[in-house]
Amino acid sequence: MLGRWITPKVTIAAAVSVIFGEILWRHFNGPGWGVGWFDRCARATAFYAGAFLCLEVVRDYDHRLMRLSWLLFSVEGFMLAVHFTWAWPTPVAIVFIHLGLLGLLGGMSVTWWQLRRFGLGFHARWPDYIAVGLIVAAMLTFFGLSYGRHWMHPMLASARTLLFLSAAVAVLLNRFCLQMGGGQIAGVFRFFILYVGVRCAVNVVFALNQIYTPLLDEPYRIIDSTYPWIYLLAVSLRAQVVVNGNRQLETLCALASPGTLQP
Amino acid sequence: MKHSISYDDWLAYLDGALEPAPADRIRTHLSTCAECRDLYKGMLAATASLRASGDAYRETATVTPAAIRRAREQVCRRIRTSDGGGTLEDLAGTVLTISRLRRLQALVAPVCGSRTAFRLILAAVSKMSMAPGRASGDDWNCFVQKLNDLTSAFCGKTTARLVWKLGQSLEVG
Repeated sequence: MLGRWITPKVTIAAAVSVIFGEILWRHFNGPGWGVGWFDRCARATAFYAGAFLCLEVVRDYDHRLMRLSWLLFSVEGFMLAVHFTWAWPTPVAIVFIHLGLLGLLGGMSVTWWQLRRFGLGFHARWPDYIAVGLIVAAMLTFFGLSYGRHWMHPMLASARTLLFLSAAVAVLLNRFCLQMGGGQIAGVFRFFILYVGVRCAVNVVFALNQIYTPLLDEPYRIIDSTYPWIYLLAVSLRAQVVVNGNRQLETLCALASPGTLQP
Repeated sequence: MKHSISYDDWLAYLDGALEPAPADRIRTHLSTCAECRDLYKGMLAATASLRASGDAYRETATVTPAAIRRAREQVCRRIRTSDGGGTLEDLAGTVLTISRLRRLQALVAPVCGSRTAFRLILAAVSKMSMAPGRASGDDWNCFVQKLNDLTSAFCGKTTARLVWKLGQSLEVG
């Protein structure tokens, strides 16, 4: 089981090592192709690991929509892994980005919809709708600026629309996390929200970079190399729930009489 | 307030629940004030009429287990839709003892949060069909089964199995 090996601690250690490794590489003026190759390998590894962990989480659910949501999260991981493994910088790369973002948006939307349907009292409030409105307004401003300065490909515009829509769903999901009153599952969703937020930030910093080059170059690189690890951290946290649960189950089974495990 | 006698004092006097000193004061006042005496007679008649109507209704209306279940579901729905109102103590009964419910909540809360754990328990209780005072060991199994189903949908099969296993051990205990 992959979740036993890829724990949140391992993920954090790997992320810190990779990010600081890249910073040091640049600091000591290592060859550019080396850091580029290393960066792509690290991102692809993070997304592949995350996608396979998502499939383990899918197996933990019997509920149809919850399975679907995690399946869509794994689509996001697989698509970006393929993107970083061989698709980039070919013209088909954008197709994988779109498919990945569709997976992310779908996964977050299905999760939000299903949490509402559980009837456990999760509901959005008016500040959330205002925040959603602000995100849509920010998206339109961003696109307006990009269009005026001719530095955004039309295909990237549709990908960014999907990303900003995911951010809007993330705001609603964040309210549900607050209403849960803590817990590991809320933590998992918060990391997904952070993942979407960081990806939005990458796009915004990229846009600012076009105006203030090279002022935000280093922050852009750091933020850009962080988000695959946030994705892996979110999924590894969820997989950890299964691993810990199985451990507790073994302990309980050892204490109790046999034959009562299955309902 | 009329003649220094408040509405609450009148109601308490009618129910015989007023302290001796103020009750004596009202009694003395009634012997001298015709207006208050009329008011008192009117209130006595109204109270007697209400009591008679209540008794008559109680004899004709029967409270079925289904009606009790419906009422409980309504209360549970109201608690669920509010922002965390209600406690486990409100749900506890003869079979669903507070210690058992607390142990189940303590098991589920680290996974899905304390409020969600409470709401899952609440939802499982509201789906049960037992009537208060008629609960048995089977009802505990039914409750654990419902909680297991809900936990499986929300937290996954592993946590649901834990709930089932702990529920079984609590029943044996």
